[in-house]
Amino acid sequence: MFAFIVTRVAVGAGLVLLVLTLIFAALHLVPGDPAVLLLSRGDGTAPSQAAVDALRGQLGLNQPLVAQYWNFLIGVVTGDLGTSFRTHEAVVASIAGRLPRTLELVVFATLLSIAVGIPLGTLAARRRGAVDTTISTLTSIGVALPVFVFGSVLVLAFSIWLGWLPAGGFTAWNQDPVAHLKGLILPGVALAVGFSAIIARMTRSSVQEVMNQDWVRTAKSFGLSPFRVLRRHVLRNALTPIVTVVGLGFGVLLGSTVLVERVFNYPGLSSLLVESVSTRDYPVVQGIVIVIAVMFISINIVVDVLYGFLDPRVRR
Amino acid sequence: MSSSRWARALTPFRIVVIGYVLILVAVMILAPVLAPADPLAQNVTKRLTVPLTDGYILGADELGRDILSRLMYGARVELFIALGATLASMVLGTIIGLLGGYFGGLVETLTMRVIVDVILAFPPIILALLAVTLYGPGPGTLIVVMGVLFAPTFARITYGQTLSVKREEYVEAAIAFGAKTVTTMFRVVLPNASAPTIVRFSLTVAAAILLESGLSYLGLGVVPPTPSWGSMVAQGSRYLSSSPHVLLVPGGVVVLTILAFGVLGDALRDVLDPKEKRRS
Amino acid sequence: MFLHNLHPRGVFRRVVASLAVLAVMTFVVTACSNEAQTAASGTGAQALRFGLSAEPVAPVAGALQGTVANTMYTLIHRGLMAYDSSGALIPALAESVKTPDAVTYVFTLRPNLTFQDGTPLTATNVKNSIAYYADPANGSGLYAGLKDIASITPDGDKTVTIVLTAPNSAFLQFLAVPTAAIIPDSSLNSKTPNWVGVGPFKLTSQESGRGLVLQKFDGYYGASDVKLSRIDFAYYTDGEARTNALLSGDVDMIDYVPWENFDRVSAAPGIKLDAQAGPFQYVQFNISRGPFANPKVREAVAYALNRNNSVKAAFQNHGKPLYGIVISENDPAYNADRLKLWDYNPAKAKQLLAEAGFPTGFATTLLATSQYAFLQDTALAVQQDLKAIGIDATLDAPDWATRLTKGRNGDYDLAVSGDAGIITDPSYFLPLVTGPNTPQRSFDYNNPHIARLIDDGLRTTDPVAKRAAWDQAQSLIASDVPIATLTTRDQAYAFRQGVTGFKNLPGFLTFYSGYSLVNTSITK
Repeated sequence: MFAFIVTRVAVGAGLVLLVLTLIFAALHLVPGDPAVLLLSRGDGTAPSQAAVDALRGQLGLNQPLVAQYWNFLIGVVTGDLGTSFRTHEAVVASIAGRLPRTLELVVFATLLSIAVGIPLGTLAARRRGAVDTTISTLTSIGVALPVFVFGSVLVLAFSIWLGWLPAGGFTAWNQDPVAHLKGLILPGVALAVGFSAIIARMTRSSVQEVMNQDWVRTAKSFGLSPFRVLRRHVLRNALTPIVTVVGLGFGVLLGSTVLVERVFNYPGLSSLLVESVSTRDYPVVQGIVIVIAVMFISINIVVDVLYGFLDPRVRR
Repeated sequence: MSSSRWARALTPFRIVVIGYVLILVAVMILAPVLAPADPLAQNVTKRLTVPLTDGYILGADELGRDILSRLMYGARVELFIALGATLASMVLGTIIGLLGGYFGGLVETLTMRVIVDVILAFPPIILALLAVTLYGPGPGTLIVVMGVLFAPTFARITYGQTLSVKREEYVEAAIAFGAKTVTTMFRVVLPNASAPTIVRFSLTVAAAILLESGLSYLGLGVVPPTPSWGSMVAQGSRYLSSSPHVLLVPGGVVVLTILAFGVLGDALRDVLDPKEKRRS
Repeated sequence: MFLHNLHPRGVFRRVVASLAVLAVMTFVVTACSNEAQTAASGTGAQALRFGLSAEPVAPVAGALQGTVANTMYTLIHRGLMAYDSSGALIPALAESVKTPDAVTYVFTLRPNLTFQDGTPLTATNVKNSIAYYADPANGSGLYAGLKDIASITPDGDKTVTIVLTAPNSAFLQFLAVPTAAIIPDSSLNSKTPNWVGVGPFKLTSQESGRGLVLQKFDGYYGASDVKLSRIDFAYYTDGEARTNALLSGDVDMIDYVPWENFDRVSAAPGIKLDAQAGPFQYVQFNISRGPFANPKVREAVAYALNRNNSVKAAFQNHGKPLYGIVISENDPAYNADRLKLWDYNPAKAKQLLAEAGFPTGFATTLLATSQYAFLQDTALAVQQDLKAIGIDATLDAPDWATRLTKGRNGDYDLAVSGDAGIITDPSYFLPLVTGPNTPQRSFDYNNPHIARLIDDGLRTTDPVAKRAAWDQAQSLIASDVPIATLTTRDQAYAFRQGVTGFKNLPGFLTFYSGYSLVNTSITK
């Protein structure tokens, strides 16, 4: 067991090293000078070469690439991801501020998708005909809808015309919990529409499959009420593939937040990433990539190790 | 493949959808003949003209270009990118999955752990941003980026299929008869493991169209003035409140097309892979 | 984006486990992170909620860091000079300015000036700050304007005398650039974020990605006239989101209204749009290679541009065609007869091309950016105009950072750009005809003759002489075409009707409109 854990962690560490080498190399290959950008933002005349050189020196960009890479690695190992070129804020602190917001949005959207998707799918599976067709059509459209288009429509409808919800932005919990939740609704819904459609489709086919099985027919023939059969037996058995889809979709949602955060001006991790790439804020980009990679890889390791405990055959 | 399976797979709705896809392909090929106007010709005085006026059947965009013609030429770009990306990811993913599943051990770690996990561990947007800034925006870059992004899905499918097919008797027989490894892999295992991949193909095309629109929204799409549906939708979203048709017309086509490829995928699944029927 | 991740079913348990792990991690991360404390949003009667178009970068002393940085400087900092709400130059930290001769300026400081950190502002601070900005080694963006300084002498505590090596009619304008702020000596380096000033507001909190809060600084010399008690800035990078925030009442005011939303905003009840002709757009050339080394070809481009189309295409008609150089009407150099150095004349453009040896045109590239829609739309309009005279330009639209690098390295043939002077004196044009290469000017373009005329205009105190120099400079610009100007574009602020006293300053000064927030008040 111990050897198994060591191996998995070693492979994981290797993966992280690979990811951060790739991101370091890629970032430094990409054209665009952070110093020039910092000194000439958007408009106005360009900075003098002297100023650019001075700033580059200060940002440590005049060192040989190998030295920069080495410092970067040392920093990662000691938990220091550097400071942002733009805001002078510690990268760890920026990420710690942004990551929970994005996770909260994703968790909220996932819960919403489950709350909408499973009942819709079950309904479609049980009532064939018009209900099924309507729900299937809706879910197909839901899957096909670009998230930024739907988001823009939501803002127009609920913020501008009706004035019920804020058009975007973010309020912290400890400032105003109600405003915080209100701000979560529209981006959450925009993010959830495609996902709930997928869950609904999955639920529909899964429930149909289970309902066709012998033991369900048997249960029915014993005179159990259809609702009871559905709730107690069918759903429970149909849940397996649904949960699988939910779990996998969670990761995909994390990717979709880029668009949603932009439409709703939601200050999460994805918007920080986009902004940092466009301003060539190397430490922040590298930091975010590392954090996401470490998260992803360590979840995998923990799961593998748990598996190893539960099922000794896995430990080859 | 029995004819009854075909008959069951081809519901009237699906026939309509297949018709739509065929029309798309025709439009794609015949765009220069069918398009009423030059898709690039601007007429700024007619900007944002609503549909069915002044000879603009589907209206004009923010530079006064004919939306219908742009949609027709855009179909070429769009389908080229979507099909190209899907093909690329399928080839890449299948090879990775096949190698990993067939050989196991170190090869499996290299393919399914290192390659697949590294791709998945990278935020997709970072991959797109970096590739586009490095190689410049354009169909080629998009195909490569999306090809890489979608490859893990195909890799995992093929991997799983290969694992199960490998234990089948006919594979073991082939190996016992001394067939070469490459022959066994590509001639024996792959054909028997490929049905879910083909089903996935259609769905990935749909996903690629959706992703292309998202990347265009972030300014990572094709270089203007080349029309692509994604960039039309992305540009149009700036005019949602003032001239909604600039968004809704291409948006509608995108939604319809993604829908169509989704349905096509379902039909393919019913024909090729009936035991998968209840899955998605 | 969802479809590709549906999966075979065997991974069920793995997924449940992943979710559990992720949930735990979310919990841990959320529990550990301390949401930065920003005070409750605008409940006070005089709190303004401002939707800002970008997050300001950490300010660096002397650097020109763009629109949003300017807004911050106008609020937090003050220099010797400033602009009032009509755009007139006024003394700021200086109570008065005397100019005993053309090269001597005597500034008398206001009494009891204090920095926001509590330390007093002395005449020595004035000297140190200005000397820092005037030193090319510090790479200040103000160097070009302050390089004529021969000496800065603090006389006692109250007066500072600056002597120039030669007369400079724009000198006071340079001192009114918000960046020319008088700051504590400890900020005079490029490391310390330059947040401590003597301006009407001071920074009390900021949170990356969300916003920052400024509160009224009671030690400001004009504090009794400042009505706003605080300004809550929230960052809205996306123009559509910014507009929506205003229309839905999330904020009271926004800057940089996107052009496609001008009509929508001005039509909205209870909302006011304040637009001013601001920066100008132009086509720049790489003259180190290819056909654009030939002035005739550049002139052909200047005649080929259908500027009316560009205004409509890129700015939805919220701008003006520009056929020459932007010169403020109040400046002696302004000459109504020189407004049109070129006109829209494709026939003449073709003829010029033929004279240059390209009767059938040629193929080339046009650098724009995918990051700013208006630059991309400008490029598309220009592309069509060029096609009409036989120049087949392929668009290159990388992101803005890459665009700047390519511009700086001369990695383009043609490019579209926008620019605005940091001062209104027409000498703002100087960096576009001479000096080291920058992303914004025609690559390797250098015309000492034009540069000398512009300098003559700057040096003279005689309005007639200045106008004569500029008349001549413009004739040269017309034929040598350092850039082909295209349009001016309106810059707009929009605010609720309850916001009063704010004025968008005219011309290039629109970027300094933050100065007028001093006079702004708000009623709910």
